[in-house]
Amino acid sequence: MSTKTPDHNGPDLEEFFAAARANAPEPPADFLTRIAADAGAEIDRREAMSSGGGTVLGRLLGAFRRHGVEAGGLAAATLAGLWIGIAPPSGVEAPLAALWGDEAETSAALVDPVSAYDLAFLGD
Amino acid sequence: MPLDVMSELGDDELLARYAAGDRAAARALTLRLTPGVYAHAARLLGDRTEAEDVAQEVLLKLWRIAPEWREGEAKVTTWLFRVTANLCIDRMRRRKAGRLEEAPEPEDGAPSVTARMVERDRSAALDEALAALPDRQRQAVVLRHLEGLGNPEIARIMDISPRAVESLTARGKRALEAILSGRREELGYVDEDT
Repeated sequence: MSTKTPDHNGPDLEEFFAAARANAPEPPADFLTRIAADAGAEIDRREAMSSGGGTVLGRLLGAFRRHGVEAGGLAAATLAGLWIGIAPPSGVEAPLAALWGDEAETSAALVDPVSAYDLAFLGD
Repeated sequence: MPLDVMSELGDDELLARYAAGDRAAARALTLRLTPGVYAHAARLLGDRTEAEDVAQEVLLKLWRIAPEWREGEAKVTTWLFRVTANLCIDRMRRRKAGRLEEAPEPEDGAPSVTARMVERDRSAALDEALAALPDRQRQAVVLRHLEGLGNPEIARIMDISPRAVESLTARGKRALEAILSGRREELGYVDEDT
């Protein structure tokens, strides 16, 4: 395709385009290094996700797989706490009712048994 | 797999390998795709620092969508041009167009130093003229005449019809001619009447 200008007094645009193609902006070497590092970090992120999953339960199960008995014990204790929070045993309901009144059952169910500390620990 | 073997693989294949966790594919894709994304962003934005930000963002998006990439549905380069252009247009709307930094020092060797300087002057003049065009005209002219893409592919990138691409490039070229005509003498064009 010709890019010759119909105006003979005007510039030949193709000469400018050719000059620009020959002088294409080139990325600095350290920039390429940064991009490659991003690519590698994304692989790391995906591998971490696939070994543990993104949900709390997935992280707990992932911790069990990665760290064995110790983390597994913590995971089991956390899950037990979660279960007690949702459906407290009858032995727990009576002292709570005595302490906080009739709304104690509802309040106990609203407490988040998985603390930020637990999550941060499991994320390490 | 070594990089020279990787160079024989298509973009889709490399991306699939990258999605499977192949770090050599990550390096090969970086070296193959980054220069084009960066150059396109620099031409649209007229600013190399901003071009780095955009190129990094574009490639991050590519790394993240790699596992969902469906081979054969779209060319990787078409997707890259499209995402790059969209991010650049967002930035151009938020600020006035910048100017390219000084070109690096010319290297020794052919062509002659004078010819090389003329070429660099013309390249820089074109960059300045492109910066004066409306965003969509600049995008169409850059894709057609600097990236060398055909109108159908440009139409897919810009999400317009091929006829609209023709119209944009024609208007863009007329505007460039008008701008550059005023710099003929400065850029080494000698008036034949004198």
